[in-house]
Amino acid sequence: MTAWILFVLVAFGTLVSAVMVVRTADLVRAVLWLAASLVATAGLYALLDAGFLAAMQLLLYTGGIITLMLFAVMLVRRGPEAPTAGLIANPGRALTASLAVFGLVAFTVAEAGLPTEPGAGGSPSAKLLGQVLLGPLALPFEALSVLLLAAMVGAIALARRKDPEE
Amino acid sequence: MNGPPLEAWLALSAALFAVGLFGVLTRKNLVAILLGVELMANAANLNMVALGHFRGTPFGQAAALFSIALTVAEVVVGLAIVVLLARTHKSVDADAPSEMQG
Amino acid sequence: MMPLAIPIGVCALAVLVLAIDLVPGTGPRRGAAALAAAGLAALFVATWFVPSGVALSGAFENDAFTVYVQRIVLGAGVLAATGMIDHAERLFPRRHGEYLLLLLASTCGMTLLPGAKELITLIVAFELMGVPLYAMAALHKGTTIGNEGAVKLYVAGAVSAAITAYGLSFVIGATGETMFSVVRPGEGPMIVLGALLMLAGMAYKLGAVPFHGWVPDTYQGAPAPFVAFLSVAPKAAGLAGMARLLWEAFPRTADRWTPILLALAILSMAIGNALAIPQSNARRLLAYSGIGHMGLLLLALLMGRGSGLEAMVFYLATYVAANMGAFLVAEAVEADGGGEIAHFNGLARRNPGLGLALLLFLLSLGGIPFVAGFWGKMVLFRNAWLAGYTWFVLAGALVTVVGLFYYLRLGRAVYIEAPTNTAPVATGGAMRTAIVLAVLVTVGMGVFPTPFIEAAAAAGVAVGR
Repeated sequence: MTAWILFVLVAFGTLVSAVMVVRTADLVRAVLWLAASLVATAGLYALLDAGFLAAMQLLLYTGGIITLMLFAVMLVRRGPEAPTAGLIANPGRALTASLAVFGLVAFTVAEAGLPTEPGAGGSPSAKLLGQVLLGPLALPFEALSVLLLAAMVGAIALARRKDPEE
Repeated sequence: MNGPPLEAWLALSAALFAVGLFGVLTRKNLVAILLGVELMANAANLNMVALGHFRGTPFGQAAALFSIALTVAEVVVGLAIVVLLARTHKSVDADAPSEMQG
Repeated sequence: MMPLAIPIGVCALAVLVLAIDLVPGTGPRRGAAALAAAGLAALFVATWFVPSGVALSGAFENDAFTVYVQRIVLGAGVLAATGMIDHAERLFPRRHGEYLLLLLASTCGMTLLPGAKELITLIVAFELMGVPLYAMAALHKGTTIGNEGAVKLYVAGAVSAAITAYGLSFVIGATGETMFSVVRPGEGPMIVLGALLMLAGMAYKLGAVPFHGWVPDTYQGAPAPFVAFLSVAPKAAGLAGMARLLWEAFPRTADRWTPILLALAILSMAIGNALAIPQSNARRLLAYSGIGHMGLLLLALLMGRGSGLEAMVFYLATYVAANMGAFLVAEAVEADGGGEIAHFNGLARRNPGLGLALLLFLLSLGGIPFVAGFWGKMVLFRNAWLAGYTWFVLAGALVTVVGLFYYLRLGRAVYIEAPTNTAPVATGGAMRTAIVLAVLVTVGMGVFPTPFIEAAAAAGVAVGR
């Protein structure tokens, strides 16, 4: 019973924050609403027995990405007017598309034979996750490091101010 | 069974994904579009963890971990583009003055 | 570990190039681009010596298919790096070391992708290919349309990654596994949903209709040497990854997703070719023509393992040199002016070599005998006919005729129209080398297609074994 109550509360928080992200005109507020949604998601992970993931969510998403985004938004501000998020006036088509995607998923879920109880092995410890990362998923793990290097180099090259000689 | 069933989790992540998609489709500012993409990615991660939990496999969480890392890399580059744009054009609208014809 | 030699080699090359660039000192580092080109060429040769087999718990396999696509991608990389040697300083002041690192990192992803036999490896390889491209697109002197092109590419990439990830989650949910071989027996609505979402995400990255909106703007705005690479290499690797995914992981549900692929293919062929006709900008023309080619490639993919994939990889091989060559010539012309077709007027008189090269590339893209593209189309049509897809051949023939119309329009500007500016078009030595290489491949494959076709046949049956 408590599991249900917690789920409803946190899920509600996640969803409402998400909607606020896409409807707020002020960019800084929108980023903060995203932070709220991401933190709430960490709570959802905790409810799914994914403690390690919840911690990573908070560290990387909320700690990392949100901070970066706030920096970027601040850097982009010029003068007194806040950068607007440029809401499009007529969201009809977008709404249709989003509802269509939701409908598609809902239909599939209804058709599929879904497990009713959490399966054994569905709550891996951090240790087990580590073994998976260094075992069957070792190749993507290593490839990821190349990607991170490239992303770093690319971002620095793009964003740094030109040298005085230029 | 004392918690919400898998259907509830899937419905939640589908809703989050749809909201994110809506954001991507209705915003012109690049940062705002990025926020929408973040929501979509977050929804996908939630889906991975929930399905992994109920299916009984560690790959759900493992996939989510990778997805988080990939998203971080993407956002880093995206934000660098934002900063570059702001410096050169003073505007970060993805659809702003288009010099290109159809 | 040894089957992974090529991706590891590319990665090592990338780090080496970056290290060289970090050596303090001013002055253009032409050596870095030349080293990259040489290294990639060496790796190209090395593909004949890497043992086939499985690496790292089966996440990657080096078989005939993998190697064929790797060669295509490495070849494109060699052309890209060579074409850059002269222009690097002009296009990317003080940043061409970073550009090269990004190029090599992306190429590393592209060498992993065709051999990926596991879902997470697949998406990481896709991102490793894609993220450096986003940075490369924006990494130039910052013109307005340039940045717009980069933004469109980025948004397309980011959204497609999210869609693919969502699809992935359903596949894991349905089967509890990520290896293609283990996912394979799966059936049911969740797998179909997962497969469709992943297909949609990848089609977005490939620029198939209706996900093609970003292509013309990116091709027009971003710097020419980058677009040359973007127009061929990610397509080759992306299609290869998609082919493996669909035919090795989801063959059981093929009757659900082949119609979608078919729709994408037809739309791409139709819209790509139709919209190419009215274009007055050479880059946009090539962009739309590329979408048209993508349609044909998707048809080949759809025909499945064996003759379908044989046609697909061979077509890609013939396509790469010609398309890259055309963009390299465009770059040379643009250094002098702009990308409008009018700027190509009288190119044959201003620089006969360039004019002839461009003509050969256009003929290949159009499918005229006896340059490479002719055989690419021939093999595709032959295989389609033999497999009973008669109307593919008719549609393909129709589309080819339409294509000739606009390719020859550009050719006409080059040879028949009077030049608006009679100054000779200069090209640096390295650019000339790159273009000559592209011509050699285009003509070479046109005259001796057999070894390439035979290798393609081996590649075609390697998938889904």
